[in-house]
Amino acid sequence: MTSKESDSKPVIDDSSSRQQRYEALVNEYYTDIYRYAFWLCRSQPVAEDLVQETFLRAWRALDSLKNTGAAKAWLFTILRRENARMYEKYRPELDDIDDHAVPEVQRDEPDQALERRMLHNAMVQLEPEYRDPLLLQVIGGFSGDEIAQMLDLNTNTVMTRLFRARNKLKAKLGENTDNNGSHS
Amino acid sequence: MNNSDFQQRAHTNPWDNTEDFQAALAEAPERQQLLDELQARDRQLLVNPPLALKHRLDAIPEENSGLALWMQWERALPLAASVLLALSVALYFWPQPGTDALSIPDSTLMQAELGNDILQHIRSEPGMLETDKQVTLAEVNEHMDTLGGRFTEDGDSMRITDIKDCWIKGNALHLVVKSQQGTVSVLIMDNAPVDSELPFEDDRFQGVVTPTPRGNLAIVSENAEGIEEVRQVLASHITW
Repeated sequence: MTSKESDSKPVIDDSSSRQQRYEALVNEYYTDIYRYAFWLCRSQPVAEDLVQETFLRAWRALDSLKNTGAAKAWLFTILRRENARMYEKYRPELDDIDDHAVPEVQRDEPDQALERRMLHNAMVQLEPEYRDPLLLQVIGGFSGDEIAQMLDLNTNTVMTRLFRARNKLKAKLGENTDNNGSHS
Repeated sequence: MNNSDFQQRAHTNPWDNTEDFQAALAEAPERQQLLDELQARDRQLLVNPPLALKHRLDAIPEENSGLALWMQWERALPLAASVLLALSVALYFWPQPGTDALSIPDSTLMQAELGNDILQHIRSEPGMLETDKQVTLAEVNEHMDTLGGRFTEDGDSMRITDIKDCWIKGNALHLVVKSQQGTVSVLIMDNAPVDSELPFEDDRFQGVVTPTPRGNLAIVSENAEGIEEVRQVLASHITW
């Protein structure tokens, strides 16, 4: 489901050219990076720009990535910083929840589309201190220790927040189910 | 493991593959239902990226190959030079009586970056210059609603061949117009208006940003005649 299965194979061969190393990074991680960007900023066009900016910075700083095993965490960290930078300067208006587009999946049945929208709204309302660890775990496949290091928290705090994040989502979705009068 | 502990572990990580958790799952198969629900919810977070994004990312090395070399050189500059630069910038933006020092740097930097952002965006969407759809005025105005502008009825004298919502320092609308002088990109941006007309160019495109009542309008083409032709049409056919 996450990138965990792919961690066992080398992403970048140190003897490859700079471009080959970059291409390997993109092929391996751009989907996960996009997914994380989307839920961080809750807007598809902004997420696309965030991802592009992330990989642009990665391209420029590629020589500083010495440990290929740390590539994923490195990219996620670049993305987090880029998101913080862009949000601080240019995007206070994205706090308006109604502007956020729910990702469309053409093959979704109507019930699935409704569930997706309900989850989307629940995630948008989830506080960042709960949302961030959850996304790093689900999308990034990072362990509790890795998340703790990335967020500068202790591991117990991360585990507690993961537990609360899922409970809050469940509670929020339960509310939405009651409001819609349908069963999930 | 009792049910309470299992639920706590499951909610913390429904993908837990440790031995004790898997053993707890095996000892009470009904626990699998909770796990299935939690895992299904996690999977719903796995949205897929747009198809064009990969192409944009693949293009980065080619578009920035010169820049990479420059960045390596820049890291070799002595620290004193960096400090000197920082001091110069600080003195340039030192507050003068009656001015707001905090607003000047952001506005100046944003305008300096805007032309580059526009060019970068156009280069990242090469397919838009090649498509030949028939975009109607009604479709354009649907997108324009959020930007506060509107094309007038006789604006359909322009042949618009592609349209896309995008982001350039704010919500923006990217149009491609086929004029007699060639293909022209038009970007209508809901961001801080520039102080005055802002020309920009790279080795392929040239363009100009014009402030509007709501934001900015950029017209970009490979030749100046195309820009002027579309600029004249837009000037008479957009209301704000």
